[in-house]
Amino acid sequence: MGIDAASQSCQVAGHKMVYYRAGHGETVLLVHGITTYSFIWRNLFAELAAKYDVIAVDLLGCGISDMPLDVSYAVKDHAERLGEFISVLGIDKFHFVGHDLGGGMGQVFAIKHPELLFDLSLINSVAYDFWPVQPIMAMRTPIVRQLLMASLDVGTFRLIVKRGIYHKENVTDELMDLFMQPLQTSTGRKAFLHFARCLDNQNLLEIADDLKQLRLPVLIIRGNDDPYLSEAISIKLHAEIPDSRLVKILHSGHFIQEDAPERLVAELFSFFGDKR
Amino acid sequence: MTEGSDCQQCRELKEKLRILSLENDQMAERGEETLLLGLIAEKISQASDVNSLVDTGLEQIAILKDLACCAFCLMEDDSGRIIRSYNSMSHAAPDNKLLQISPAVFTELKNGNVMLTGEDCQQVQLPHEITADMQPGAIFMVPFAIRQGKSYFFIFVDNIGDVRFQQMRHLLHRAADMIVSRYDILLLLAELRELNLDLDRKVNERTRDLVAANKFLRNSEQRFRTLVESAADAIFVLNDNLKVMDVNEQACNSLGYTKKELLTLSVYDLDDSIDLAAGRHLISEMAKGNIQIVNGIHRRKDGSTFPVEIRAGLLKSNEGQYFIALARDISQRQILEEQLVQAQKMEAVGRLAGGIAHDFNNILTTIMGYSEMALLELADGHPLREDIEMIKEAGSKATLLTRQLLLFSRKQVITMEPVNLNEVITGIAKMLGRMIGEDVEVVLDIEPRPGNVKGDAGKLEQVVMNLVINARDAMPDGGKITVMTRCLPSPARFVDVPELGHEHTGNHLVLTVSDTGGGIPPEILKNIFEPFFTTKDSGKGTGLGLATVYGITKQHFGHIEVESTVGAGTTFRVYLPEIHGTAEKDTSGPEAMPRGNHEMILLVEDDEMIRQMLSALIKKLGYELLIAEDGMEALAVANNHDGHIDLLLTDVIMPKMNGGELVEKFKPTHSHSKVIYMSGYTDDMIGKHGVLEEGMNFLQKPVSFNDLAVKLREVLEG
Repeated sequence: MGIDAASQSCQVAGHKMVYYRAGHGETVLLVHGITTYSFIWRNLFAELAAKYDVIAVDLLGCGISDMPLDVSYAVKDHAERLGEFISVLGIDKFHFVGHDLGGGMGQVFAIKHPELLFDLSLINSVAYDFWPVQPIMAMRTPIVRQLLMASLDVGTFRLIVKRGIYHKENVTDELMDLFMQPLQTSTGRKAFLHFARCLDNQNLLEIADDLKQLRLPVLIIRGNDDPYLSEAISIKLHAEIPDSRLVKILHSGHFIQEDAPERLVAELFSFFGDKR
Repeated sequence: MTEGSDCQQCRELKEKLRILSLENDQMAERGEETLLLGLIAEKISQASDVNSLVDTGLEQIAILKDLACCAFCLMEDDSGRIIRSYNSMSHAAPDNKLLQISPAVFTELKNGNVMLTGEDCQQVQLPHEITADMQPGAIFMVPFAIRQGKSYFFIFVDNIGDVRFQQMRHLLHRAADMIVSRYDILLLLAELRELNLDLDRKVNERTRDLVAANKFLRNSEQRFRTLVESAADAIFVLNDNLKVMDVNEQACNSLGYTKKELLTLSVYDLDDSIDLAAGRHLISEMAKGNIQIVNGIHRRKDGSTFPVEIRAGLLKSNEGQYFIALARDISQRQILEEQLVQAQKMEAVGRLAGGIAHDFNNILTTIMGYSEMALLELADGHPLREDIEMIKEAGSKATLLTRQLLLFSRKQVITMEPVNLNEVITGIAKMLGRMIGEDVEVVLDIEPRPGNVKGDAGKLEQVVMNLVINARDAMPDGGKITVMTRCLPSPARFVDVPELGHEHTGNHLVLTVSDTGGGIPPEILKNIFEPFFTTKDSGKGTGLGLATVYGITKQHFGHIEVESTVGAGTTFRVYLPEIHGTAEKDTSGPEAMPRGNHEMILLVEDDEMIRQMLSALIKKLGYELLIAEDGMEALAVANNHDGHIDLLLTDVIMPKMNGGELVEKFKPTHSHSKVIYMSGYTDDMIGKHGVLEEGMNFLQKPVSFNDLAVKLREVLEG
């Protein structure tokens, strides 16, 4: 069971984007990263919706949004599409919450449209040169190869997920079903691989300097036991972004939403409320 | 350590690292290949149809080896037709599209794998859907022959086409090999499935046909069974020992056995008339195909028997020799046949009796006539008078007897005259006594006051006779019959009799005949007046007795009722309307006899004795007479006579020309002449209602002197 709300959709640059929305108040946009989709926010959704207008989006090529292969799934392009998404929904200002690559999109977005954001929350986010890679040789990179295998083999995918969660007993068949769902079809698999191939830290490297100038409150949360994104990334982010706060959550892996959802919510509420 | 040696070491280390890296890569490569093949093997073993097999295979190869696209194609005459394909950058499926291949490459492909690089790639034109905008850097094709004799090939496309791709060829071939062998198996399985389906379909069809045939047969059997079961005749299926194999319901009902019981019996147990010899004969005849029609006697379970007509024949069967027999209960038919015979006998007897009676009548007429004439001549007290009286009385009795004979032969016609019922009864009392026998007592209870009804004495005699005979039959062990007459006011419930007109006095004469017999049960009581309804054994009654009584009663505008108590007896009541006027008695004295006035009478009678006697009588009565022996003579005599003929008195039955014909010829020339017919038996005179036609005057033989005198006067003056 994914998010307990009815799915909605809108057209963004000629493609359908699906999202889940509930609650009232200031808008909070939840953006997932690679290997997940809106479902990853299900343990936070209801609580957040109690106080905010929460939107969990499926990025293009993920979940049940359209999966065109002739557009780029690079961080920068996703960020641009999100801008259009927000505009289509008629939202003036919102809280950006990004996980993994979603965090990278948040950074790009914050640099480009700071006026649209109340703040930026980065949860186990990518940044800078989180891996050294060139697009065409992406297949040779271990993480990407792993992703490739994962798309073909649930066993491999399970390994990736298990590695990314501290409380391994939470990796149930139901959870794996949720992760694997987009990969059930050839289309879904192609989109997933396209996302993987589009991984390019160039988009993030080029905004490194702009980050230093960012006048936006930024919350940096790291699950302490994330094997995929090293501590160095969050430390560097905290160091370089002026108005930033770093929170380390112990006994949590890359997918903190599975390990410590309540803590996450608490931190977010605290962060959102601070600016009053 | 010197700097130079440091650099040397560094260089060596770097070299080692480089080599290690390379080896690592190679190991990784090897590892991947194994992994790929393993994965492919795992996935394709799960594929259940050729399409998903190839799709999965192509996808895995493309993803794991990072190929731009690949496809599985059919080798056609000079090109390839894409069956399945995979392109990582497109969802499109260019199935069935053609790959244009140059003849040279095509020829090479037929002989083995083909690796194209760089510009050579242009010798293969891939459809746009499969390449998108990519220019292939290298193309690798692997051909296969699959069991159906067709040739297929895999095509792998890389957009760079470097050494790495070229080194893949062995792996790609092996992967393709695995796919193809599974493909073969799946095709085989598909064929088998197809055959199975076909077989299934055929079996289903066959089953459907069989079921339909069965259903038809069952319906047919059902219909046949219904036919057999509802048949009014008993139907038996017999084996070749004439043992009962099957029966219908009627068979059980008619014989009083259950079906189960019947199935243990044979024809010899059931039919008294068929013995072993007869049975064997029947079997041999039927086996030849001849239908046998025989009469038999069936014995019921309770031992009683009934006659049957049996039709039997061979029953065609695949399972041996069987016969089917229909048995029709003909007891009713036999009864009817007997009744018919009886009726015919009665008729024959009647004719005989009528014939005899006719002759007797003529003789009696003579005897009566001459006796009367003699009495006329003899004065009272003459010694011979008594003797002649005796002769006359004997003649009267004889007359009565012939009347009874005619009564039994039912040749009485109804003449409506005043009849004294009491005299009717007393007149036949002796006869009744003779018929009834000694063990039955007959009591006559006659109303002293005389009462007349309008009717036919003979018919009324019949009524009494039949009722008394019935009563006697009800008391085989003896008993008492009471015959009673009364004159009573008519009950309100009786309908008036308009035909009698003013003659009806408002009273009814009631004739009651009761017995002390067994009585009649209520359910039979309602049927007893029906013609042919009888409870007597066959041959002992035609069932017409009471019907005749009923008919005569109705002819007399009367009413009949019956009352019965089982165990006590039965009472019949006949109501006849009383009329004014008296019945004429036969014994009026000669002084009362009306005489003639010399009217001219033409007498036609073929019997000499009667003719003489009547002549004497008529002359005696004071008439003039012309005589003729037959019709022809009568006409001649009539023509020759100058004067008027007042009355034609003619016999009816005469040779050459009967009375009716004579009258027809006589009337035109003698329209004013009256006519009187004479006859011994009178059914020739019967009109539509069994009553004499209007205007026909009739004298019944034997003619008494008085009758003649009265009739002549009556008709001449009428």
